[in-house]
Amino acid sequence: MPANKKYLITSGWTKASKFLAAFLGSLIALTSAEIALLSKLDQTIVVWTASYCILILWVFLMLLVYWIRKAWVSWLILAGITLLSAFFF
Amino acid sequence: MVKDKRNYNVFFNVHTVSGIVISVGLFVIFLAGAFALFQWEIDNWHHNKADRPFKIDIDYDRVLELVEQQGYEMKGRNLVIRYYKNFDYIKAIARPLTDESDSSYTTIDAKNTGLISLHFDPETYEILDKDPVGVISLGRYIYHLHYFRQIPIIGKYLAGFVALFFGLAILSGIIVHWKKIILNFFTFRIKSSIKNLWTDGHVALGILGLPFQFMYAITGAHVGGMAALASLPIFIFAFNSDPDKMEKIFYPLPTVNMENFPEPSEQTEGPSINDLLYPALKLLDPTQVREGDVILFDYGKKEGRALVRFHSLYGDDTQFTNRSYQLIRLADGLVLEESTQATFAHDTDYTIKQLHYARFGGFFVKIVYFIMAIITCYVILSGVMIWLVARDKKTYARKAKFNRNVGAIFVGACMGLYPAIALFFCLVKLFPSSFETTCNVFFLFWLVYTVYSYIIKSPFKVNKHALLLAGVLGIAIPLINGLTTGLWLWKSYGLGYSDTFFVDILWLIMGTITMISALIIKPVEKKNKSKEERKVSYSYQTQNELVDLPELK
Repeated sequence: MPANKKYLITSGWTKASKFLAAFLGSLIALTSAEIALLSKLDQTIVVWTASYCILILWVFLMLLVYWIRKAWVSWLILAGITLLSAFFF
Repeated sequence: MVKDKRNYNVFFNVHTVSGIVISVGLFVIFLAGAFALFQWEIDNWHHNKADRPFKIDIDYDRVLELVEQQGYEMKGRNLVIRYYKNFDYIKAIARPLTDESDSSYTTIDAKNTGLISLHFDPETYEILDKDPVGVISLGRYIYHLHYFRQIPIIGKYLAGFVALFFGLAILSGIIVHWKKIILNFFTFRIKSSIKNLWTDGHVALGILGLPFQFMYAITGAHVGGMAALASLPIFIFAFNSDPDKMEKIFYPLPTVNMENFPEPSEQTEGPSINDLLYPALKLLDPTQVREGDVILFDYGKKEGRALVRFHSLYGDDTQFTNRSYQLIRLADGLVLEESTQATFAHDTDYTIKQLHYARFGGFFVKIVYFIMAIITCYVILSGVMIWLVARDKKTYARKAKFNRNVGAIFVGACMGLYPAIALFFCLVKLFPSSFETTCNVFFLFWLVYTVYSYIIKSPFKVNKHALLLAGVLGIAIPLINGLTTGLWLWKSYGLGYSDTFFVDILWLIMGTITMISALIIKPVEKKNKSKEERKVSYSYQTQNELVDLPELK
């Protein structure tokens, strides 16, 4: 049974925006968080833990982006993570 | 609860789209990957090599002498001499010597100071002129197929992306099925309708294989280059694109401050490295060692050191990864440092690879992995079938032709791979001298089967014929091996060809099971039941349609 179209986004621009947020936005947010952690903690441990944690969290953030209704809200959250990381860096 | 319905549909859409996009790629990864678990065994089967123990006592002095004979400047080098189980060569590699004042000094091609990369025969110590890694045989070829290495450059990253999307499909699938997770797990309706059959199998086996599949999604993305991709910004921004700094963090080597140790009492002229290293090697059990490398630091200098590292085949009770090292001073053989504890960096890297390649627990774990991988193949294929069957309706009449064509190609490409691999095994034994042609025949067969599926457009027939072909070819494999090489099933194990025995028996069992299932499967009957039955089954179905669209209150 395919998903009911009534609940899905129909606008092509919003779709593209969500896709970009899910793949690129999440990755940028996660790597900036990692760079922030690198400056505070043991670098070897952070680099290696991040090497697989980023992959898991990336998938979770992708789902988060699709779960949030508005594309701009998800962009805002991802930008928030990035800015917070820059603040702690 | 409109809100929940919206979430359900959104996650369901993510699950469907990510699943259908990666389906064929993922099927190839898991089916070829299932065989790639046994790549060394298959390689040994291909060339009929007898079992041989790991050779610990390499003549390191001789290797060094041979490297020096090639005219390389050795003073100050960090030389790695490496030997893996199953690899039929010893490898000696060293980076170009560095000198900041002279930039031509460090180039890779510089005659005496450049990169050293040599391969030696472990028996005769002849230099192998051809790079032995480049010589491909059957097991290795299937291993390469499982991450699309045949596609140049992007193949590996493509596989990494597929693994990442697989993680997305798994998680969204779990969310979609969360509310009915226990009920659906115990539901298996064989007789009601084809769609229910596929759905129940998809859900039950998907949940059953969840830990295995999620582990593979993450480790697969990790080894498939996604970790490297995600680390790229860190490399650029946090380490200013300095590879040395990055390497120190990623692959830290044990370092000691040489000043803490007393000077060597007398400087022996050209100490024998063998004599220094063999005491360390004596501590090891050769049947347990999987890979060993010796790194000579600052060779030829006063503070020259040798790092002897070994990985054992299995972890012990206390550690999942098992390795040990000794750092030895080259001048007099003083042991500067020794440890059997893995470092964090090493442990993480190694654990991910242990999990991905099923290197722990021996054959039992590999067989469990193999079965789980085949189950995952079923989950993928049933997902495609659900996608197809769900669109086989009047509301989708406009796209019916397109859906049927896409479905036929997907199912044909997935199912065609299995008999193609079986054919591949037969052909390498029938025509041992022409491996490249065999590879082309393998791909050609796969293509032809996909085209065949596109023409007949009946998933049932495509499945049945693929299983029939794979069954016949699979049973033929041990027979062909026996006929061409004389290593029959009942002989090979006794003669010490345990890998040959294993691959033959694996194909015999798989071929038989495939054959039986191909002969007993029947198409699920179309719904032409009596009115009474239909009424009962209808209420039953609407009740169970909840698998797909729960009515949330």
